[in-house]
Amino acid sequence: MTIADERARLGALARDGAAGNEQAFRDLVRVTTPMAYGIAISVLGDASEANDALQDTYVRVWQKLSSLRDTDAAGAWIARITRNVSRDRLRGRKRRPVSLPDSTLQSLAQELVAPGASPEAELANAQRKAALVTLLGQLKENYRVVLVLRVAQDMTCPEIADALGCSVKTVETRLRRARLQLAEKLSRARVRRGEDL
Amino acid sequence: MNCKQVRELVAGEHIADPHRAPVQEHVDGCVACATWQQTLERTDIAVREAVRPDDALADRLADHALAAAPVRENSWLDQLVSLAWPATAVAVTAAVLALMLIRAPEAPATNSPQAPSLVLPDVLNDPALAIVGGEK
Repeated sequence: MTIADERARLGALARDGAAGNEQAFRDLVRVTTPMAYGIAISVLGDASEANDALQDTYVRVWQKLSSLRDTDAAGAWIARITRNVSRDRLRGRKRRPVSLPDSTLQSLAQELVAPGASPEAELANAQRKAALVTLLGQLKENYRVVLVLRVAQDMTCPEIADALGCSVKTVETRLRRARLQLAEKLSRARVRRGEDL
Repeated sequence: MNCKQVRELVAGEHIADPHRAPVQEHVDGCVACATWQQTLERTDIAVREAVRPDDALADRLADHALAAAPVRENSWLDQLVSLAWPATAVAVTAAVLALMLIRAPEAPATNSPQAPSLVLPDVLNDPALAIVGGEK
């Protein structure tokens, strides 16, 4: 499906939703949730807070849908609301230092390089997820949003550019830097663990 | 190509055709870069697993939104407001234009044929203003 097709599909759902069609609204939520979740968790760095932010986001979407003039831009509009709601929540809460215990980061780095090489150091699934989200939190917000949308939500660079309102070139640059920074952090952790690259 | 250049390219979304063969050649012969590339691929997979929403999330969000805001802004009031905006814009524009038209004649229109001509007194040739006694 091309970006134009996707825009048209979301536009049709947004128009029907704005007319009060609840099923269309449900479909709109279903289609856009992976993207919105990717943005929320990238900004907030916490799954539970991302869920709360999305609740506020979609209440706002439902309330304001009828005032959306360019319905074909519904995806970008929802992305913008998600980002604003998430940033508001981030400002509203007490800033917690984003830190990852060195041992956890080292175990994570080891697992990513040689999975199963040292079972005793292997992280539990939930622990690994939390460690990765924390690690992502150490990247710049612009970088991690792009990375999460690309890697986790399988959005293409043009789709991400469309959702975030920036150029494809910018998305590609941020994606490259995000990957380089993540790899750098993991490499350093492995070096601290005493392994040569 | 050195390791840094290769990693920059590998981390990107696409490797341009002319770079593909040299990058592959380097990765095949450099253990550090091969490991680095593997780590990158596994990190992508791990990130995907870490930040995937659960399947039922969208349904929960839709239920919550519909329950939290049963009265939509797409009511008669909302429609009235959406109609009122263009009407207000037209009214304001008309008022501004009317004000401009009313105020226009008050402004001095120096190039207009109907404007009063501005005649300066001929001070140099006016005998009444002649300097008596001349220069010293």
